[in-house]
Amino acid sequence: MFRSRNTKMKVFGPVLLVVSLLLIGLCTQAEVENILITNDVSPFACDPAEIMFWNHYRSGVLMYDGLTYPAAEGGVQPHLAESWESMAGTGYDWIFHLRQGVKFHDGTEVTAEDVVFSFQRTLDLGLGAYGLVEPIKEISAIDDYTVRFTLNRAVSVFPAVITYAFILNKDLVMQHLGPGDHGEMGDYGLEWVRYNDAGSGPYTLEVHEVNMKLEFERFEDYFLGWPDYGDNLVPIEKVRIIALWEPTTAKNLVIDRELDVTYSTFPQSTFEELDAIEGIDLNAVNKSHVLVFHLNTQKKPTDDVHFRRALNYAFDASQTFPVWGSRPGHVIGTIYPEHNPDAALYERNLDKMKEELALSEYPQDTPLTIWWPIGDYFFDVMVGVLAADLTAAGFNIKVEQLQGLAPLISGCSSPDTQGHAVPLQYAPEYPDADSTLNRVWYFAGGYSGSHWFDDPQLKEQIELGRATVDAEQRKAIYQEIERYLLDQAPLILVSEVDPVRAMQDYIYVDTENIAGITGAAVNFYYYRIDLNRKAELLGQ
Amino acid sequence: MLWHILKFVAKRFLYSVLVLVGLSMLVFVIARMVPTDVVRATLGSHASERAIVDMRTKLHLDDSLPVQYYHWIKGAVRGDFGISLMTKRPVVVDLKEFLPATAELALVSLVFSLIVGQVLGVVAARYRNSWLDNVSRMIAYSGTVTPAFIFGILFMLIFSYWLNIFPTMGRLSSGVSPPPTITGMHILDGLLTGRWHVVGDALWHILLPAVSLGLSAVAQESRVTRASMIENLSKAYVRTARANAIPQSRIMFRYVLKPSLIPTVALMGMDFATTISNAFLVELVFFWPGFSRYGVTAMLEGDLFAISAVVMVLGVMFIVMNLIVDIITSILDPRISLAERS
Repeated sequence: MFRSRNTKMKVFGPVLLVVSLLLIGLCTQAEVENILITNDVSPFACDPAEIMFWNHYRSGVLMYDGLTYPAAEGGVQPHLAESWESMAGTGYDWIFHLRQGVKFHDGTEVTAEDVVFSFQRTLDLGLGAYGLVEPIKEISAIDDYTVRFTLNRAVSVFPAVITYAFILNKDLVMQHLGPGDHGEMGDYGLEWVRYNDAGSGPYTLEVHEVNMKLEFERFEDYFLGWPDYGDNLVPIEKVRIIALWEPTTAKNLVIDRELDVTYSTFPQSTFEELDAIEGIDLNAVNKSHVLVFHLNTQKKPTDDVHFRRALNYAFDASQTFPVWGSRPGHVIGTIYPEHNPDAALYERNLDKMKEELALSEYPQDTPLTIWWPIGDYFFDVMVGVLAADLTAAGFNIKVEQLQGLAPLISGCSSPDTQGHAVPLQYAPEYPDADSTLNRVWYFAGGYSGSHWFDDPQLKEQIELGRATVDAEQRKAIYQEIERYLLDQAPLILVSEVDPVRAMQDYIYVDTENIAGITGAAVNFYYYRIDLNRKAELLGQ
Repeated sequence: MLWHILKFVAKRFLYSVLVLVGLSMLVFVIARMVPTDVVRATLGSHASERAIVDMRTKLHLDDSLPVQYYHWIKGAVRGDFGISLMTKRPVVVDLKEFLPATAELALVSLVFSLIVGQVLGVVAARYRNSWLDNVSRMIAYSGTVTPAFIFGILFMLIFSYWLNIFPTMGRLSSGVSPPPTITGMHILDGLLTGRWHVVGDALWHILLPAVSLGLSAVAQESRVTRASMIENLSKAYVRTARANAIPQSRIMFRYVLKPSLIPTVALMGMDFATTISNAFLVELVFFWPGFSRYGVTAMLEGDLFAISAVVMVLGVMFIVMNLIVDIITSILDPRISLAERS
C-alpha cells in the first residue's frame, strides 16, 4: 500500500506526533496535592457589596472577615471586633472595639477607617448586600480601633445581622477606583474588587476565572492562627471552587477523587451509592435548611386564608421525609433557640380541608399554578408530592416548569406574574431568627418575599422583635410570630433538612467549632486534610 | 482568478451586512420580549430601590425599543456589546475568553470527523454493498441518531471513570498553566510557544469532548464521501486508469478522492458553525469553558446583552464559513465559477 518511506512518514508521521504529545501530556499529571476541590453554581461574587445568594458567602468567608462571626453553639462570637456594646442598651447606637494587629493580605493593618469605608461603600452602592446594612443611618471612627454605628431604628440583633458585612482594605480599594456615579469615589472600586482580593480572611484569592473557578491559597498570617489538629491533619493549602452543578459529572468526579466536597443535590440513591464507596463519607455540616412553598397571598384564590389553610390540610409533608432524612419543618428553623417547638403544624386532614373550603369564597376547582424551578432535586420531590396530594384531594393543579434563575426572580417581581405556590429553601444567613423573619417575612415581593404577605401587624411584631433587647421577651415575640404565620398560612411547610454532602474521608471537619450557618459551614479554615490518607486512596 | 475572488467577496460582504442588520433587530426584539426583570435578577431582591432605578436608567431599559436598539447598535458597531449581567464585565471580554475554547473544540472535532468520515466513506465506496459497507453505514447512522451529549456521558463513564485513561473535565490539568494567549486555543498557542507538555495535556483533555461532538458529522461526511466516490468511480478517466493497470488503491486516493472532497468541504464549513452552536451539552458534561455553554447560560439567566452578542457572533460565523467554503470549492474545482455560486 505504501510504496515509499516518504509516503509512510506522510501518513504515520502526524499520528506519531499526536501520540507523542499525548504521552507527554500524560506524564505531567499532578501528584498528591494539598488542595480541597469543591463545586458550586455560578456565578460567584467576590465583592462583599454584591453578595446576594448563599453561594456568594462561600467565597466571602474565605477572603474576608466581618466584625462578628457565627458561633458553633449559636449566636455570634467576636471576630474582627473583640467586643461591642449597645449604648444605653437600646439597640440604636452601637460601639464596636476592634482587635489590634489584624492584617489584610497585603500586610497592612485593619483599622476603624477600613470598617467605616466598607459599610459606607455597601450603603452607597446599594447592591445585593444592602439589606444587611440598611438599618445604618451613620457610621464613624471614634479612634483607630473603635467604630460607632447609629441606626435609623432599634436593632438589638445588629451584631448578628452584620456577620457577613465584610471588611475591605480601604487603601487598596481606593487605589483602584474606576469611573462611576459616586462622586469622588467613582465606582467604589467595584470593577477591581470583583476580580481581586482586598480582604483579611484565611485564604487569598489567586485565580478568578469568571463562571468557571476560583482558587485560593492559605494566608499564613491569618489573625486567628492555624491550630494544630494533630494526627496527620494539616491545614488546607489551596482551595478550588469550580462552577459545576451537573450531578452526573459531579458524582463521577467524587468517585475519581477529583472532587473532595460536593454540593450538588443528588437523589437519595446517589448519596447511598457514594456512601458505600470506600473513602467517601456523607456529611451534613450545614444545618436547618427549611423547605417551604410560599403561597401568593395577592392572587386568587390563595389570597383567601381559608383556601390557604385547606391547601395545607391537603398536603402530607411526611412523604418527603424518607427521601433525604428530613424532619418536620418550622417557620423559624430549629437551629435558632427562638423557634417554637409547640407551634401546631399542619398535617394532612381532608375533613379539616373541607371545613376550610366551606368557609372560602372560592370553589375548590379554582385553577392553581405550582412553579417548578428545574435543577434542584429538593424542589423536584417537593413539587411532585404537593402536586400529587392536591390533585388527589380534588384541587385543579397545573405545574409550570421554570428554567434558570432569571424567570424565577423576575416572575416574582409582581404578584400577577407569579404562580400560586413557589418552592423555596431557607438557609440561615446569619445566626439569629431575624435572618428568616426579616429577610423573608418583613418584605413582600421578590423571590424571598414571594408570599406577598404585606401584613402591618406582622411587620410591627418583627420590628418589635428586632428592637427587643431582653432575650426571653424576644423569644416570646418570635414564637408568637411563628404561631401567627402558621395560622394565616401564607406558606406550606415541607420539612427541615441538614443538607448532605459527599466528602472524601481524608477531609476532616472541625464540627465542634464550626457553625452550621450558611457560609460559616463552608469556611475551610475549620477543615483539615490528611495527605497520607489521600495518597493511600489515590494509590500513590 | 484573484480579481474574481475579490469581486465575489465584496458582493457577499454587502449582502452579509444587510443580513446581519436584520438578524440584530430580530434577536434584539426577541430577547426583550421575554418577561424578565433583568435588573432585579442581577442585583438581587435586597438591593436598594435607588440602585435598581440607576441600573435601569444606565441600561436604557425604560426607553422605547427603537431607542434601546439605537444605543445597542451604536456600541456594537464599535465592538461594545454592553455589560453581561451574569459576569458583570464587558460581553466582548467574555467572548474573547470563551469563543476560542469552543472554536478549538470544534476544529479538533472537525479534524476527527473529516479523517474518520473520509476513511469510512472510502472503505464503503471501495467495498460497496459488502459487510464493510454495512458496518460503515451502521456507524454513520449511530452517529446521526445519537445526541452528542449521550456520547459524552458514555465516553466519560468508560474512559474516565472505569478505565481512568482520560480526564473528566476541563481544558488542562490542575498543575498545568495555560500557555501565553495568542489565539486563546491552548493547543495552537502551545505549539506556537513551544510548550509541548501543554499541547499534550490539552490534547489529552480535548479528545473525549471532540470525539463526542464529531461523531454526528462523521455520519454525514462518510455518506457524502461514499456517494461522491461511487459517482466518480464510474467516470471514464477511472476506467482508463484501470485499463492502464494502475493499482486500485492509487486510483482511489490519488484520482478519485480529491474531486469527491468537494461536497465534503461544503459540509465542513457549515458543520463548523453548527458544531459551535450545538456544543452546549458537551461543554456542560465535560465542564468545558466554552462559548456555547456561555450562550445557553445567558439565555437561561435572561442576560440580554450576552444573548444578543452570542447570536450575532453565530450569525457572523455562518456567513464567513459560507464564504470560505464557496471560495475553497471553486479552487478545488475550477469548473465551478464563483459567479455561478453567487
